[in-house]
Amino acid sequence: MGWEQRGNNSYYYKKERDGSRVKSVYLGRGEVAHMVAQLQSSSPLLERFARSMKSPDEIKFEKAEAALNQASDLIELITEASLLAAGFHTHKRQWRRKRNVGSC
Amino acid sequence: MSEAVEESIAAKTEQTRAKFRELLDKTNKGNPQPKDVAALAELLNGNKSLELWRDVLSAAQYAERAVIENSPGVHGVKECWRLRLASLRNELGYVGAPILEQLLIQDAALSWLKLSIVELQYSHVMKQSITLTLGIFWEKRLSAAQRRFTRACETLARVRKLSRNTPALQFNIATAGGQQVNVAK
Repeated sequence: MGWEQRGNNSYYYKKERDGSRVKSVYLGRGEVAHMVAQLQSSSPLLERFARSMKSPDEIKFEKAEAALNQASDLIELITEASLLAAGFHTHKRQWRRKRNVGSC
Repeated sequence: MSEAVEESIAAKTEQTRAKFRELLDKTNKGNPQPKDVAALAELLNGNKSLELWRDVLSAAQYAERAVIENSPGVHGVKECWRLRLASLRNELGYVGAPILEQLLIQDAALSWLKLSIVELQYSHVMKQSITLTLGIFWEKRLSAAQRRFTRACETLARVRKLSRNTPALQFNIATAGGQQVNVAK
């Protein structure tokens, strides 16, 4: 997004990605373009601020998600540990029992 | 539950996780050192194992409370979730199952609950006019919840299948004052 010099005048263009190509989309010149440019320059800041302000629902969701992920990971780890201690091992992501390991 | 208690549970869970990860990296290979396998077995079945299993159980219980308390809805709905979760655990054979299976049942039931909550929220969001970004965001949340539920069920089924002929996997924690015992079915 920015000003581009074409001949003697400056024009305001917006860059848009279309697959692997980047297109320049004409937005305008003169006062209106200056206003748009000013708004555009402050919008990432506003966007970042809005993103940092999480809603209470969002905070709740993330809290529950974090606790659940932590517990699930731990259970998964303890399961792997129990299988390994019982004489199993993974072969191509499949649990197999080692040969000559008697059940205790 | 106070924030200090929540933080201490989270910190302890992280500590246990790190300990396990370290030992698992050493043991989950073709020819692990016998001393590493012995250390892992000691961690699971040794003198300090009771504390370890308690930590894992408290992490699972904390997760259950966090999911239910932070779910949308009034208190009555949350109470219904709690009861449904308990009945689902019983349907999956929680009572009388070895401790490892109990944990996996708890995980599967909780993942089911989380999936149900996310599905409800997803359908509520999709009824409104939303942006594409928000739609993708909810799709991802739903996919993650579905993946977690599938993985929990698969792990439970795998452990049940493998433990059929492996009594070492069917250990239980004895009640107060007792010793840990292995129970073969």
